Amino acid sequence: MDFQFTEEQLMIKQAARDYAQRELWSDVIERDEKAIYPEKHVKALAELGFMGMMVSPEYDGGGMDTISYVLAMEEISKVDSSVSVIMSVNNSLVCWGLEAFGTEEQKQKYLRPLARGEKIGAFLLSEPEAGSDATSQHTTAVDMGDYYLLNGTKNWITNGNTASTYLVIAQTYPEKGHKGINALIVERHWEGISVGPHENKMGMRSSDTHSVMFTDVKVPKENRIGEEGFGFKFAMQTLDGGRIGIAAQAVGIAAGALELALKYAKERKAFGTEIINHQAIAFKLADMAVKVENARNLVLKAAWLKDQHKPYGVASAMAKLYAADIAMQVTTEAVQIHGGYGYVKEYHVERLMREAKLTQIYEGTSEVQHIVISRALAKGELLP
Amino acid sequence: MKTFVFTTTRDNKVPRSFFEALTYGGSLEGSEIIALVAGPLSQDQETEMQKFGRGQIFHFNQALPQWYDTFYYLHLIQSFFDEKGEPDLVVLGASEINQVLGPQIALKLSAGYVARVISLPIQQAPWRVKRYAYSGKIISHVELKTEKAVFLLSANVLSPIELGAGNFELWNALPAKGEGVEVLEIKRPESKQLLTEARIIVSGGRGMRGPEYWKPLEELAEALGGATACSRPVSDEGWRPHHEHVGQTGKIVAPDLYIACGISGAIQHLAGISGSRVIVAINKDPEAPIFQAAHYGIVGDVHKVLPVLVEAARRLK
Amino acid sequence: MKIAVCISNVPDTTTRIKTDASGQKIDLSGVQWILNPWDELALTRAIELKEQNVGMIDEIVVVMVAPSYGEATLRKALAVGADRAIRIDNDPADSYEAAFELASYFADQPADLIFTGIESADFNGSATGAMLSLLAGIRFMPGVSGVFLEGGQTIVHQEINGMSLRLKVSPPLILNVQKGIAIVPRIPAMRGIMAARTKPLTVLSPKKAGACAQVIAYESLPPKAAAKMIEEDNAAMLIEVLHNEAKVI
Ligand SMILES: Cc1cc2nc3c(=O)[nH]c(=O)nc-3n(C[C@H](O)[C@H](O)[C@H](O)COP(=O)(O)OP(=O)(O)OC[C@H]3O[C@@H](n4cnc5c(N)ncnc54)[C@H](O)[C@@H]3O)c2cc1C
Ligand SMILES: Cc1cc2nc3c(=O)[nH]c(=O)nc-3n(C[C@H](O)[C@H](O)[C@H](O)COP(=O)(O)OP(=O)(O)OC[C@H]3O[C@@H](n4cnc5c(N)ncnc54)[C@H](O)[C@@H]3O)c2cc1C
Repeated sequence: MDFQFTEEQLMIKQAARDYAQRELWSDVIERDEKAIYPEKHVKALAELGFMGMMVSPEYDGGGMDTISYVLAMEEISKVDSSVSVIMSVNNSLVCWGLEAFGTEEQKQKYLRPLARGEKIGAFLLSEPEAGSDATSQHTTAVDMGDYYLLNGTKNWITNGNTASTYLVIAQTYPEKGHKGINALIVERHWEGISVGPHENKMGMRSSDTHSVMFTDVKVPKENRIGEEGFGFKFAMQTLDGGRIGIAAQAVGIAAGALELALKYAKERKAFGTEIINHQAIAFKLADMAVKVENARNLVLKAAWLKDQHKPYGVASAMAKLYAADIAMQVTTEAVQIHGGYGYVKEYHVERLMREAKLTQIYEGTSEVQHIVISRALAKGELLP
Repeated sequence: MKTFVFTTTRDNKVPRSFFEALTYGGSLEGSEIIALVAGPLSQDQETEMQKFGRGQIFHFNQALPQWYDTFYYLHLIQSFFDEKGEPDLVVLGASEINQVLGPQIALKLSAGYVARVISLPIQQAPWRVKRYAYSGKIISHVELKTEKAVFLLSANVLSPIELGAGNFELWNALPAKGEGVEVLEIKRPESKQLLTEARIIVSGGRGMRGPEYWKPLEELAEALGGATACSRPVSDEGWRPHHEHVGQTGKIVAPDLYIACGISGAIQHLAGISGSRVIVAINKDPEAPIFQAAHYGIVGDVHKVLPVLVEAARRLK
Repeated sequence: MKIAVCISNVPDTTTRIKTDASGQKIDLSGVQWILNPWDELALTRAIELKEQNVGMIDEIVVVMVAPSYGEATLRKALAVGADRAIRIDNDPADSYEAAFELASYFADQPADLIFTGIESADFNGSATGAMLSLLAGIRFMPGVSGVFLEGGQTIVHQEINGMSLRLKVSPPLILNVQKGIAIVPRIPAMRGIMAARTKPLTVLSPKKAGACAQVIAYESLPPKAAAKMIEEDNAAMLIEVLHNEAKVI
């Protein structure tokens, strides 16, 4: 057992921290309030290589491990999760999915610009009627011989408007159920694609969430990922990894709130002393610290398993479930420690609280994570 | 013990730091001062020199090079040593030029060098002095292994004491210029007062809200006969010229009075002002760390407080 | 053309500085080491020069006099964009010792532009560059706030003693940099971090001139009395107090 980070991992963490504290912090409140897409930040992070961190250098990626990725996700998320979710979707869903399962041609054509961050990708699974139950896909990709004809609507798509490459999950053989689902690479500019308005969200307001509609979109057969009917498996395996990124995001939100609450508690005075000297506040902070540390360890464990090429599906579900839940708790307490100041935007913690809520919902709700974990338990995959 | 003190003149004046160095050198046991002032001087400055002078002060009365030619100054000082003999101790007042010359004079004399000395020596043989380290976070005691020493003083280490015991005379040498430098442009962006030598500084931070609100701050500086300064983000955002930036990565200042308006007092800012004799903080946030560093404080809105201070300061004069 | 950047390894500027039990040494446990902020800006400018003047700069070398724990900082410099790194294995006790090691190195391995920072954030000696210049016999440019290359010549912006100058001067030079040399320090990119894995970091044995000065003790700052507070509504009082009590105006 070795809890030591490598020098490189620490360097990446510091680079992400420097960028977040120096560049993201100053305009995050305005971006959130006005729901402004963080275009210049996405570009700058792409230039630094954060948009395709884990992709092999062979395909223009950063060649870093999952541990480095979660450290970077945490630091960015301490300040702005609208930015980190863009990073997360591109890295751990789109790039990872293409690199793990794409053909050489697909990688050359699509993965390279995505790994460089010159283009951004989106992952289109959720539908108006298919969220947690991703098997009941209504979007269809009818086999027309040398192409698929794509029809349907996808909801809640992060990077929906800015992405140029979509990975779309659609049903080709309804009679085969989830074994008839395909994953297709679709280019945003193709005919028949329309994008709905920007969703007016509670948190992560400056990330770009849209519905995407397909009407008779022709998708060449060579744009299918994997064998015919591999789509559902593709989505589930990709999401297993994606969850590590969202779990790291949740840790970042919680750790960011803890940093702010600690600083505030050392400065704010009440009844003649800094409030950190009141045990009620000090113990709250201690509990928050334990939760953050616990969640971080779960995330690092899942990342480590992935780096070691060991099964990580249940570990990532545990990390996401726990990190998202404590992110909610820790941010709520951070607002409490700030008192009235916590309830206004200038102090950042109310925003972190709104951001935390989303981590319990997307890439598998907390309930879905419970299902994954309890099934593994029942099957005896986990030692009790 | 022969103690050498050096300064250049600016605008035909001798900086106060020179008299601080003279006073410092004169306070040491067995010290015999021999000083060199390089550059033109106005008439009244000679009386100043009589007032605060000590020992023998020589005046090299020639126009100085336009650009900061280290070769020129070293050559000048070397000629001086050749003629008058090498000193045992060199005391330099805080100035940007002395900061460059000090280490080089030390090498020439095979002397130990200590910058930013903050007090009279604890001990003379071997030399032991105090200075700040880690950007003003701690005081270190430095001991020299050499017999000779070169000390660059922090500003404001001591107040010049009038002795009137100076003997002031002209001295000349054949200057030698460094070759191969072409001056393309010279500007003097700073006000007459150098920030590093100003006795009073009124400084603004992000709490000033924007460059258009700087007028009362400038008026206060003017009423008090001081200079204006700012925090780093203020100069980064272009609200104020960057030579006004004070702090760890800007200028280190040590005035008698530093008035911080709408400055939070980040550790890197404090690193640049900790040598100030009196710090005043005006900030609307009672928890702002600047109050920990301040001697006087007003919790309030700078935009309301500054005009009141301007009026009061004008009344005083 | 070859550029060298002298790098000092210093504790992060927000580090709380305290002494160890002996009172004679700084407690360095848990300190996060960083590139001295000035040197980091100098390195940033060196890299910008290399990018802006394609083909003109053969290499950027970073040189540090430090014990082995300085290597992480050097590797960061490599990740940011330096081509190779030199560590001279000595823990210098004063500026002279550091300058002496650097001068010996440059006597052997000359560079056209040598960047030094105006001061290092640990001992704030502000002397290394000036001493290096005299020891190495290379022209010293203090107070450098900008540097540009124009046809084999170096254009140096210098701010010193309230003057702002633009000078044309030919290498070799020691550029003692200050504010303005670069605006924001460069953050290492993944590509750079990867490239740093194979960039050479050479350790050289020191010449050991011996220091002229030595810190023999530390003393914490004297405690400061709480600030005297004046009511906002009574702000004019401040001027009175500064005049009569503090006697500074
Ligand atoms: C801002 C944002 C960005 C998103 N980005 C993307 C994206 O880029 N790509 C993408 O494909 N999707 C994205 N999503 C969609 C997200 O993944 C889904 O919202 C999520 O999977 C939940 O689906 P749903 O909203 O349909 O809720 P439902 O599935 O309808 O769930 C409603 C509630 O029922 C619970 N529930 C459902 N089934 C069960 C069960 N079997 N047992 C117990 N409880 C159950 C859920 O946990 C939840 O509490 C995004 C969502 C948001 C809000
Ligand atoms: C390596 C490094 C080096 C640095 N070097 C320096 C340096 O050399 N110098 C420097 O200054 N900084 C430096 N910094 C930056 C430093 O950390 C702080 O960010 C900076 O000093 C803050 O500037 P400020 O006080 O103007 O702004 P803020 O921290 O934003 O403070 C503004 C203050 O104004 C107050 N205020 C707002 N409105 C009003 C009002 N109407 N009336 C009264 N008060 C009001 C607020 O309460 C607040 O305290 C450095 C940082 C790093 C990392």
